[in-house]
Amino acid sequence: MRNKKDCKFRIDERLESIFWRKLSCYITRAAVSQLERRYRVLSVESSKGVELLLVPSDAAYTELVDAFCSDVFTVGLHVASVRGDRVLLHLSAGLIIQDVIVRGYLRLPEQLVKKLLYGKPLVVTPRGLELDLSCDPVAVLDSMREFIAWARVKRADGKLLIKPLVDAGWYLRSGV
Amino acid sequence: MGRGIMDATRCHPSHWLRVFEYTPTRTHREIGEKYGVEAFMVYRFEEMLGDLDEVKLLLSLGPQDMMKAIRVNTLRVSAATVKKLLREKGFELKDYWIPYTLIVDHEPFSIGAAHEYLKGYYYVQGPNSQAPVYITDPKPLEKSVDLAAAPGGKTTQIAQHQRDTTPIIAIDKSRTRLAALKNNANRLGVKSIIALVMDARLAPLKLGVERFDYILLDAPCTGEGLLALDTSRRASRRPEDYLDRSCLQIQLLESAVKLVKPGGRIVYTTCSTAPEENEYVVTRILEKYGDALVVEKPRATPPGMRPGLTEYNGVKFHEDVRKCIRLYPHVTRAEGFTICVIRKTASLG
Repeated sequence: MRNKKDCKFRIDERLESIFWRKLSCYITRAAVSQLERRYRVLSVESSKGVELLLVPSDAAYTELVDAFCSDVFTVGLHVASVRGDRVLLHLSAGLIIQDVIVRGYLRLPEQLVKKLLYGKPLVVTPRGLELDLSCDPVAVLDSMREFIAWARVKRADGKLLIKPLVDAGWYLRSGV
Repeated sequence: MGRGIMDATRCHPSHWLRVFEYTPTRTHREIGEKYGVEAFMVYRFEEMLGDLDEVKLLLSLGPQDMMKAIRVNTLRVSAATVKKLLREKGFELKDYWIPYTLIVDHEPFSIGAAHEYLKGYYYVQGPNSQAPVYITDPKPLEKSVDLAAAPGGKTTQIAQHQRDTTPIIAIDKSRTRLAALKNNANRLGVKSIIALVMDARLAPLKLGVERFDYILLDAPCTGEGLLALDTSRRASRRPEDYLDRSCLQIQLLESAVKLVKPGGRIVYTTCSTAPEENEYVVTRILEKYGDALVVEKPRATPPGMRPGLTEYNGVKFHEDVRKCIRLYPHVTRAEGFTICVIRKTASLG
């Protein structure tokens, strides 16, 4: 993409690379490469930091964003926010990796998913749960192996404390 | 007369003002009192339907008489899968003439709170609201613009038809409403939308003329088609609302005419059955750009549809508007809608 110097939506290759690196904790190198070929990540500054938006890699998207830059409200999927050194993954980031996720996830049965979708923390016994807690945050999957939340998971007294950071129930709670 | 109304009156040449002149009788007043609507509305509905018994049937409808529907997000999942998953939770669903639409006959809890909704499997959308995009079937690679896009129901439906492969420019002048579009697109996983905050009347100036293949204009309207669903709207309509809305609609449709390429289509639709907001608006545009435009019959015709009105309130409209589609609530048991498909046959030069 040829960035217009004055366009607030731009490709910042450093942030794009940080985003893919963040996702590489959850998926294989080959899956990251495939996603990198398929999508580009645009950055836009907000009052709180930088927002990352994922668009198909088709040049038409970035050309249109460049052309109408001053009027663009949003584009593609809002996949992450950057706050200082931290990259906060959004629900849409989970959506694009759910089919290829291999690490850093926790799969919950439906009755626990229901509780999590109220945005409340859970305390569960890990026995019998499919999990790999090697990434932070952890991607929470439902019984169909579909992504429903990003959560922080802590082990304490043989149990897991699952604190949702952002969960699909937000769509309901936010009233949209 | 307020300034807004004076501006609206200027939109309408004097020989067209007859469309907005209503002369209700005592009978209209009596029926109006019974059903909680203004007498001029009863007069208008009789002009539209030609039969007071049918008017009474229309006005007798309440939310309980109207179908509720969801549009399955076929980018993620099939209608059969959603039907199975929701039935397991106690929802009663039935198929509709649109293959990805399911009618909700019974919900044990709000269908907008189901886990499947949160996962983006569907969008809660009135059955007739799904017709404009379905019957015009925007194809992948068609460059599309949605001129009054928020909260994104029809924009994401276009993405579904185009398999989320082609950029869709979604315009709305409200940032608040565009935030709702953003959330809906994110929930549904639609990646192809570029949302612009803009007054759609300025779109040809900003986006360029004759660049797009498919323009959807679900124009801001009086919401007359929603009277049964939202009874609070019944008593709030005023004659000047029709003058005012149709003025804006003409300006927006003119924008669409400028944006669309020769050979491209405009889908003009409102959640209103008011001829003032539909056949009249299209007639005014055909009057101005008739050499370059034709009204087309869509590829599919919804059950219960009626043709556009070529005459209303003693005024004749363009003959072509007969090809528009009218969906009345008392016939379809869903929100009232009017749809006109206009093809541009030549450049405006």
